Amino acid sequence: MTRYKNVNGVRIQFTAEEETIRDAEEAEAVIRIQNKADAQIAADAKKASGKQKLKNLGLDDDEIKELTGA
Amino acid sequence: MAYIGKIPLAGAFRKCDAITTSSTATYNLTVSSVAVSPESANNCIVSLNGVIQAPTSAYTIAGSTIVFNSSLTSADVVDFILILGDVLSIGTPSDDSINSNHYVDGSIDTAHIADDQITLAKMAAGTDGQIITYDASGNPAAVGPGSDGQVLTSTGAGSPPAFEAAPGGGFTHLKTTTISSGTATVDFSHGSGGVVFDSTYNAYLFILSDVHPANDGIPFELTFSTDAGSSYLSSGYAYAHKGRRSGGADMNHNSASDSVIDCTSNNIGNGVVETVSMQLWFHKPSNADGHKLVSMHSAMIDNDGHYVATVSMGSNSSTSAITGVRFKFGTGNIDRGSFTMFGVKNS
Repeated sequence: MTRYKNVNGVRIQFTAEEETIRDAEEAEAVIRIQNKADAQIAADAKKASGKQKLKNLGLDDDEIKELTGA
Repeated sequence: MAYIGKIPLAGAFRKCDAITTSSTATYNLTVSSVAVSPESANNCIVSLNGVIQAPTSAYTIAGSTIVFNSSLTSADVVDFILILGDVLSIGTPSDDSINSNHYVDGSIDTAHIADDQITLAKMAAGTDGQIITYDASGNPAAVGPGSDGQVLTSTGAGSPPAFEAAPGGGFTHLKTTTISSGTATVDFSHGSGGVVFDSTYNAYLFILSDVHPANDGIPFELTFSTDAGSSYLSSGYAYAHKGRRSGGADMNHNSASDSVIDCTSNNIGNGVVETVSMQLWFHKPSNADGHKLVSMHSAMIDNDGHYVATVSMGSNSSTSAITGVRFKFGTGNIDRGSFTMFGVKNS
């Protein structure tokens, strides 16, 4: 699919070189997206396990929220 | 001063009908059998028995009658009575027969100029760019024309306004780009289309509104150019986010070495209502002493429908002057949104 860039308000078709660069950028972005999602999942999991450990110590949800913000 | 008494008919010279005298002093005045009323005795030439009569002493005028100072007899002969109009009046001039030579210089007063009659073409010529104001004496005065970029300012009471340098500091709108169909990147680069991206301004502010991705779950990214948009740096970027998502999750990400600046702490959804809006400050892009810094605030709806707020920063390790920026989603197109660029001067 032909790509376009908008430069200072003017819509311009990508050159072949720009298409190649953009293909590479999108391939990198896919990896970055996955890494970001994985990091968020890991952070959420750690947060959940930490919260559970606090509960096991006897803290209620309100106390945990005041301590952790979540 | 207004005329006292009945205004004479201008230019009317009329000979009265013949009068048959009798033993009375009063006689009707008619012209062609129609009663006439001279304005005064002085407006009549009366000949009686071959002698011109003195006005007011030999006769008076009362309406449409002449009253001799004594009764006449049937032997007396009124030779003629000539009624004079206003002999000093020129009467009613013909249309378009009076020119300015017949007016006393400076004699046309305000009352003789109707409202809304002075057109621009009738005004004296001035200098291109001047405006008309009033001076301290209340007289019209020309101001200006000033020079390019100056603004008209008040100089206070008793003094005409003046063209002066615009106040220093503030925002200058440079460009708004509106996207309504698939576009891979939105670029602002120095030197064309009204975009200035150099040391002219102390900082640049970008306002991005309702930016919507074609693909789902995509980060919004930023890269820099050091050659006015001919190419964009693909390494040396760093960023850090502090985000919060509805539902309570913190969303903090950072990178010290990446190929882009990731502008948002979560990926943006492509549902119709899922977009990102943000403001981005680019500080001193021409500064060659340190790394270039951008600071950002964003509001977005992610691909899970959560509302996400992010405070973030981005940078590139280049010390070259940055002369262009490129906004894009990680993959796919931007299919709608507006991007506005302001230059900000400190003074």
